[in-house]
Amino acid sequence: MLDHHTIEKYELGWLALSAVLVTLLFVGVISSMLTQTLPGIFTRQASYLDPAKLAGTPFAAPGLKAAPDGSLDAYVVARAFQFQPNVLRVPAGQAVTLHIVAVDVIHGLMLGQGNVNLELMPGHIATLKTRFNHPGTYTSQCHEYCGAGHQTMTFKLIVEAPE
Amino acid sequence: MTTVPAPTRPLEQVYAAHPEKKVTLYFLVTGLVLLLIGVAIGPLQALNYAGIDVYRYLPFLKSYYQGLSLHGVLNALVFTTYFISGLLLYLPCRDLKVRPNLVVAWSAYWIMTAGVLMAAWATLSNNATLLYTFYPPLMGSPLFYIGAALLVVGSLIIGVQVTLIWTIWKREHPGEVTPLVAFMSVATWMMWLLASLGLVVEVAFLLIPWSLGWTAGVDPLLARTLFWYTGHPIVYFWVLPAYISWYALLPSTAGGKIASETMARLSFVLFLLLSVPVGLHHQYADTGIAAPWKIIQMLLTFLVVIPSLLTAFSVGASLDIAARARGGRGWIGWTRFLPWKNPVFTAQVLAMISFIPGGAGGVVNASAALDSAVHNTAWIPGHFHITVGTATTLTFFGISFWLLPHLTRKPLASVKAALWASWLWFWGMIIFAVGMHWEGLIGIPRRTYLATATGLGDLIARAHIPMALTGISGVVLMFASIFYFYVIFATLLGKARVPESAEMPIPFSESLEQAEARAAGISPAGMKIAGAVRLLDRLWIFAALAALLVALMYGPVLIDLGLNAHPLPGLRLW
Ligand code: HEM
Ligand SMILES: [Cu+2]
Ligand SMILES: [Cu+2]
Repeated sequence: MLDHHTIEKYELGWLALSAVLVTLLFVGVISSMLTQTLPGIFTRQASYLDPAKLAGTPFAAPGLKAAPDGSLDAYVVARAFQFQPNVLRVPAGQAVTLHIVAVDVIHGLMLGQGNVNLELMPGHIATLKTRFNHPGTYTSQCHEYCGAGHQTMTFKLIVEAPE
Repeated sequence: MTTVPAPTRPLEQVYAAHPEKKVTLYFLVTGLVLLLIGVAIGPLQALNYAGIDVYRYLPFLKSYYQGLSLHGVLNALVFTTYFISGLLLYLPCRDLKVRPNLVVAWSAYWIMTAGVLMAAWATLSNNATLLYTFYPPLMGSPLFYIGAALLVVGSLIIGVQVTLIWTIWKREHPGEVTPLVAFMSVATWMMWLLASLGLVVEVAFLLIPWSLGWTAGVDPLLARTLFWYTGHPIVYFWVLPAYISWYALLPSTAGGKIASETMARLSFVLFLLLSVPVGLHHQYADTGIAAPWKIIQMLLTFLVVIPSLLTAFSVGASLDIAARARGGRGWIGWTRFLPWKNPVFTAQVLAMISFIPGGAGGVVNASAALDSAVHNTAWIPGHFHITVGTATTLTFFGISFWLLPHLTRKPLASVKAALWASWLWFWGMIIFAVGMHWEGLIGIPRRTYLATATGLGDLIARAHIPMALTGISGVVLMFASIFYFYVIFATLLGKARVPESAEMPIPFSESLEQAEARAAGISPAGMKIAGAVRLLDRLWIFAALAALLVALMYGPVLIDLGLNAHPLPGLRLW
């Protein structure tokens, strides 16, 4: 049987190895984030909108909007128990800025593509610029419990191939 | 001829030598009874995740979400708190040979119980269908929040009590080092005293006044941040008692030694230092919190992996020592020499095994970039049923197999049934975890009355296999629970008690150092104590450092949220 000094020596080696592994993991995750795997994580500004006062903001008529310069902005409102719009069509390969806000309780949205997974705190607008490259229909659903109709709160992202 | 009836001992005499046994027993049994209710709902949820709806046939549950609120609150919050309060009151007191003040311990028990009854009333009457995270602006009955606060207060009373008992012990034993189990218990309680602050502040200052109508609104992001301030370290509050058992009790059950006391102490000090300022990793996806804070807390979360890896090493080594002492050899062959017929052992080792994938999954969740693929999907409940749901719960099952006989002097009703319960729970949870992780990767959300969801057709079409696995696991786990609760209640209701001399002992274990000293003829008092052990024994200093680290990591975030609060009125949407 090993004596306790020897075991401690091995264990200190294991401790050092653990520290190295953890460091590598951290470096790996940070590099992945720096290469924009998580769209908008560093640029999401803290913008707050009083959820009672959507009128006069682009969220009053949510949906996809093209600016005169051709850039695309998609506005989505989450409220119990519906996303507005609940089907969002975007062209594949083009940059789109998503603006999503919940207006009553917390809701959540994960899109089937592009690592978009958001916890929508009421009033805090999630703004992120991304690009959907793979055409298709991506079904998802509100993923934060919001009440009795939570399971009916679906969302479809349709990424359309260019003609 | 007349037979003299054997003298029947009045019940109280069982506790005569150690009256703290009784309050411990109350904590454990109340926790287990409430677990029984929570666990009874689990298989229904598993069926829901198989697409099978049984809720429409259940008159006593108003909705899936009411059931889920009961399941989450009773299992994760109530059962654990009771069990840990009993266990980590009893063990350190016995280890230090101090009798706790029973008035204090009983008050803690009754405060907790009053709180649970209030919260249960609110939940059962469908006035607190908030799930166990109770995020505002969903607003439930004030009874729920007050009850939750009392539950925490009860645990804090025990925590302060044990910490004070130890502080006084230290004063009365200058120069002595705290025995291992007491040391680990105090470190755990100190961590919890610091960690519970977030929840206490959230409930006492935000939610209770708001639900009573005294304040008009609560800022949901501030409340959520305070919740997760406690919500992550609470998982260490669940898992450290299991570690105490693995490190310091299981070696004796297995017939071995604690591999290294110094490293055991080091890992608990690391937990005390690092456990708390990590809660933001539950909020990577939140809008409204700046990325740098999330990233710093990600790093801290990774650092807490280190003491867990140390635990894996030490515990593995001590099992290896045990098996070789029983004649085991080889790379894998030694495992056959472990006491697999003893449910105390088997339950805990299976719990440890489940923690290997459980911990690995935790590292995935903690990595912000990977988390975006799994956050709030079925992956997450898949993950925590092999951590708190197995690593902790199955360890507590294993502990209950010796602790209930120890406290009551009633022998375990059935070793066979206890073994069945352990194996079925283990395999049930492994199948559950495979099913749920897989469903999550497909994109199926958690906390969803899936069996009636209408819009998820394309996801469900790809999830038939994992959904079937989840459903099957629910059935396996139902049988596991039946075996387990049969053993527990048959033991408690049994009539026979063994004499005091045959009482099941507390499996305090000897460390390898102590065994070597003994073999060399050195008395325990004469053993050289490593400088590191002396240093590590200054738990108050580490607690202060931990508090400082928390202030640095959370202070700016919370101050910013407080200054920019956007209070919202409550809503009842269920
Ligand atoms: C018979 C055994 C069990 C089964 C079959 C089971 C099943 C489930 C299922 C399917 C869910 C997911 C529900 C959803 O997200 O909609 C769930 C959630 C949960 N379970 Fe269990 N469970 C069991 C035991 C336990 C135990 C022992 C614990 C803890 C000690 C536990 C703690 C939780 C928690 C905290 C949640 C999350 C609730 C929420 O999201 O609000 N479960 N359980
Ligand atoms: Cu929802
Ligand atoms: Cu966590």
